[in-house]
Amino acid sequence: MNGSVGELLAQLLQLIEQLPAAVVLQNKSDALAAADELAEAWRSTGDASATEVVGFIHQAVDQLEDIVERLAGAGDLVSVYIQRILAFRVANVGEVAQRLRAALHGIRPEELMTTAARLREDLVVLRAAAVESNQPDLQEAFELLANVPDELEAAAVLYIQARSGTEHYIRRHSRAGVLPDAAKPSGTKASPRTGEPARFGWTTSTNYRKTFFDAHPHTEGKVVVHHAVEQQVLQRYPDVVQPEEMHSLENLRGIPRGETNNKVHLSALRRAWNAFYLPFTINNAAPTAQQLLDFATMLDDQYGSSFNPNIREK
Amino acid sequence: MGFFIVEPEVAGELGPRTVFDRAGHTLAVTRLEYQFFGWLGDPIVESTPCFIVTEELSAAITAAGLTGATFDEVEVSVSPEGEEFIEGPLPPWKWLRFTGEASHDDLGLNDGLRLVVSERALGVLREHGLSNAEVAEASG
Repeated sequence: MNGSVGELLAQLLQLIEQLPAAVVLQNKSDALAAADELAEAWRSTGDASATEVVGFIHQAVDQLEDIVERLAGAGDLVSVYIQRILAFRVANVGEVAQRLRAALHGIRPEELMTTAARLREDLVVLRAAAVESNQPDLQEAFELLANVPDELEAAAVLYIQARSGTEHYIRRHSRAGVLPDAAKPSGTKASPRTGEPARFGWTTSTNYRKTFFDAHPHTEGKVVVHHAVEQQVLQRYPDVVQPEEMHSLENLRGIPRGETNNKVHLSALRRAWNAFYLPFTINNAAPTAQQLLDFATMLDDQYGSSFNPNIREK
Repeated sequence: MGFFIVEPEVAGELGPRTVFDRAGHTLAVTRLEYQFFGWLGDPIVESTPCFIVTEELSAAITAAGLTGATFDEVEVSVSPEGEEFIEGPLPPWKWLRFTGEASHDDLGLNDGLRLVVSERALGVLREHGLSNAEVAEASG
């Protein structure tokens, strides 16, 4: 039994060592290849925005890097668990290790969520077995595994976010072949927020249009006031963002009226946000306020040059 | 039989009168207010995890005998932003609910909360206009 357990342990540890690199590098490679391809295509058209596009995709790829830490954390817990099991020499150790190995075997980013759910169910069974064994250390070993499904789910959320953000960006722009022809904003382009990341301020007024037009009177009648972080966040994720933050000037954008392009851009913004919500909806989880702002910044980078006042240079 | 993943136009947001069920593993909606912020004209639109269709399309789905779906009431509203961008009155809408299994019934929602439709269902959707949706062949 020691031999087979040793083999399983070696295989398991090897798998864990390879896991983060396999998960991240494979997708990083895909994303960077796509970025390079796009950059090359746009360079040939003389489009100066190619650099910005590549920067965006690299930003999404960087997000994938966080998965390494989470999977490494899961791997550490599994290693501890295996060592303790070995010390007990319990009869079903091979089966237990095999099941655990199966749970992690061949793990792919698309399956992180499913694997986490399966492992969570397995842990219920394994914990019950540990209680029956009447060995406190064994029970403790299983408790150490309690966070592994959460780690995998967190990795899944990050992966899906980065992937969907990148995919949507590529899809949007590859369809037209070039970057969107941003509408020319009317009125002054001066804005104190040009180039800044999205952020919330604070206001006690829910009359957001008045808030916006008081600050930018020259835009009245020329723009539709739009929330960078969408209003439905208040319903979807109660308490993550306060209404006083949602309707603050810092979260408001002016979209020029009467321009067909802007209807399409707003539709693209809504689709992007929908993709952002998806992993949180699947997992019944809530993003942090910072995650919402980071995503809003990404969209500002993409469309902010067509806002009035514009918040990105053309 | 081939199946397709359809990502419809996102024409709005879940409105303030939407009621959520947060008890399950996945966030669910038990009462839906779909608040339009803009509409490019497709007869099926979504705001995850909800899909709504025009009454006309719901009737066509029923008439075609497509499996896996039923229809429920939805409260439709228009945001101030939507009032600026939507020309003319909106048609009546129904909430598309799923009763079947994705990639088995004509209409279904997969584990990733994506709409999966059969070739026949895709034909019905396209007949009524699917200009702003993204459609891809479902793998597996």
